[in-house]
Amino acid sequence: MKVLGRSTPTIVNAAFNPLQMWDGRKGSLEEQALGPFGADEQNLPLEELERRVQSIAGYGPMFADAYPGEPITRTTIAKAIASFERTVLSDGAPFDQWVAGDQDALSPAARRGFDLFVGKANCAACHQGFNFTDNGFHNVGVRDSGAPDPGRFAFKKVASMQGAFKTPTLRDIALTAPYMHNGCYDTLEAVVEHYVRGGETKDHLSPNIRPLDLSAQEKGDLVAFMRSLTSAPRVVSVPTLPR
Amino acid sequence: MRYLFACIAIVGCAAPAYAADHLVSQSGKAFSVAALKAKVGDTISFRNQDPFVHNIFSLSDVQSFDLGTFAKGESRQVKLEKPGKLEVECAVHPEMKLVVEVAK
Repeated sequence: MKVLGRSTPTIVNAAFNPLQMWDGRKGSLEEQALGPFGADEQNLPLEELERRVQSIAGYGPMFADAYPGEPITRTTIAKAIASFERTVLSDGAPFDQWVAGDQDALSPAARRGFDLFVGKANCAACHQGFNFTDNGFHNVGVRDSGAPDPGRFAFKKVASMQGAFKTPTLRDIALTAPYMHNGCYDTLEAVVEHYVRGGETKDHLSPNIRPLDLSAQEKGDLVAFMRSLTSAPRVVSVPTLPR
Repeated sequence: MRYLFACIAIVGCAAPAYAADHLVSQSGKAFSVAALKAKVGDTISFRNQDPFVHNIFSLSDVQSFDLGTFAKGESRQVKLEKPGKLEVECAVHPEMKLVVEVAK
């Protein structure tokens, strides 16, 4: 098995991302959906993917129903996967209930954490808006285990994009470990420590990142706030796959 | 009188057209204008009014430049060197776009 350099990005709220993938190289979920069939991940050539889906009789009427007049091809397969991804949404977290006026929805620690998030800790410089992302690209000083990953620079030849990656949403962040583009941290506490240090590497580091002077309680408050962004569990029916 | 005449003559010869400086601010992850008409020799001053960094650049065929990252309250200036269409973006925030039509 080949271990890849990047951690799987969450698909939670990916519907709202203007660009997909850690380096933003895909412009839509439909484009993104076909990417992982490549050699590094599923190693399934698209011709073989089409052949397999076409050979399962039960898919015929389902695709015809969803995409009338369109054959089963990589195009419609990508549409189907992207349509599913757009249903993977996170909202209605305790934080949202608090914003809506329920003062008891957040613990005092989470409330203090939110103040730090938008203030002293400067997290909101990048993690902005309802989805807690600026949809932007930043080098946040993560050290790669091998050669440094060029990140966004591979597609935008601008110096500051060296080692820059897309700001991920923080929705359901407590459920989506490991963290950072290469999955180098297993816990939110370790992520907070990374930012307290001002990052591990300084090459092309975003000026938004600087060492933070946070007490042990303040670090815990930030984690409590991030945990308040977890939405309630949803009931998902496992589909019966056609044969 | 002769001195004054000399000054007028020098100014008249040296400045066939005044170069303009176009101020474009960045606020709320957007340029203050989406399109701009300018002339060769003009400058554009980009002023960051957001509480986080921007990195204005262009990789257009007509002229490429990278003004680097700059923080709130800071400005960066670029001189327009050739006529044509420039697509200006922010590397940090790809949704920020500005089109500059540069005339001779």
